[in-house]
Amino acid sequence: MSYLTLSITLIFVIIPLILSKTFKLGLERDTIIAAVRSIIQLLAVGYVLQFVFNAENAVYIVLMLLLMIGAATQNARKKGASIKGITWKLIVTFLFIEILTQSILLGLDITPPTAQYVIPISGMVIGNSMVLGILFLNRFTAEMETRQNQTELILSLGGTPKQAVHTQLITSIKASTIPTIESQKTIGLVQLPGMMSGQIIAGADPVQAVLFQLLILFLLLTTAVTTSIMLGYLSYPTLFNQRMQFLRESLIRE
Amino acid sequence: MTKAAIEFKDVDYTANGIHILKRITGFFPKGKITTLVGPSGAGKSSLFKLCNGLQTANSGQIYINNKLIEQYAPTVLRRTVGIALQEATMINGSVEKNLALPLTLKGEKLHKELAIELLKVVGLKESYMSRNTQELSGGQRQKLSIARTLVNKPQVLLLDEITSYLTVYPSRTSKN
Ligand SMILES: Nc1ncnc2c1ncn2[C@@H]1O[C@H](COP(=O)(O)OP(=O)(O)OP(=O)(O)O)[C@@H](O)[C@H]1O
Ligand SMILES: [Mg+2]
Repeated sequence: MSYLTLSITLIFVIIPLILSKTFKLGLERDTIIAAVRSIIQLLAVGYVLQFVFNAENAVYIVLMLLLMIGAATQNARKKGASIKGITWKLIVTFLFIEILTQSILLGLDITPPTAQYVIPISGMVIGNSMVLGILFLNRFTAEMETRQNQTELILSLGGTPKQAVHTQLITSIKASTIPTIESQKTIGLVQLPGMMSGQIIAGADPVQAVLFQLLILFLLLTTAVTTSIMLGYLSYPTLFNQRMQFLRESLIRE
Repeated sequence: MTKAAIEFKDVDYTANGIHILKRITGFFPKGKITTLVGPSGAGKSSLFKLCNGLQTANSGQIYINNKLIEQYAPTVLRRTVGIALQEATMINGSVEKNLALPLTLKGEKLHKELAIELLKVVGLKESYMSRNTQELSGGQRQKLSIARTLVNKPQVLLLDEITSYLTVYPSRTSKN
């Protein structure tokens, strides 16, 4: 596709603009901002990727991955109801999942160790891990807040912090991972996954595209479950002190 | 002072910038029932939580059986100084599950006979055993909460705000 074709596709931006104007929806400003931002951001990513692909230098790949992890951490920290010291816990989680998935993929020779594979797959893994992290943290802090009495009860009877947060932890891990698992049950029936559609449009054999999509889906299962469990087990100790006392104030509320 | 189950020396406690307890000195004698009376918000629950180690005083000393509270491992302290918290919180599930909780936490099981006996001690019928705790009245929950605390065989028993729910009731050391 050329830039000329792209400029013609702006028709799809103009249609909502006209509709918004006619029906006084007041969406013009946001629509324009969204369109401009997506053009700039995606083109920038495109050029960066092109550079990285051409450079064929592992350093750039690693830099790119670190950038993704940094952005994901920043976003999860902002959107996830937070716990003291959450930043490094997020970084450790994302790093761990990235290393885990890539070592399996590359180690077992499932995907080749080139930027074309490593970067997009990492993007999906880290992006999903980020969403899961946000889901998990919001649920976990909410659970901890509403069940303070239960936490205190278990501690008061001689239970450990781990026992005191067990229900809350399991509930939150389940609640945050269920959407990933559930969405995979209906996948393909209603909507073709975006990546697969893209590959098919770009000319790939549909069955090849499906096989690749399956790989991604399975990766995301690992990502979802690992993210929630890791964040959970890294986070709960911060909510207690050495004397096994529950620290309410360590739950930072917006 | 050897006769004190709990002894306080100049205990000060502040939470979230609120000075709750100021220079508390005194003791609860061993083998006796002591009643602690005070208006709402006086700090009775706070004082109990200090004794059970759920909170820590900002200054001063608390001795349990003449041993400084900090010298106990937290879980040991909490089993030695049993507390039936004011809220009488129950975990989801049956009366039996709640009664067994202190032992479940230690990886042990509660024998049926002991469970029945404990219910009897606090005045709950054996038939309540399989009931869901959500079906219990406030007073029944308080009773179950006490029975549950007794499972740990505490040397000191703290009953918080019991009288508002229960008629006179024998215990070991202290209550509100
Ligand atoms: N975590 C906390 N943060 C701030 N203030 C607290 C906290 N816990 C208790 N307080 C305050 O400390 C004071 C004493 O509370 P406490 O629960 O010990 O009173 P109480 O004597 O048990 O009252 P009641 O008879 O109503 O149960 C109250 O004014 C309460 O608002
Ligand atoms: Mg109270």
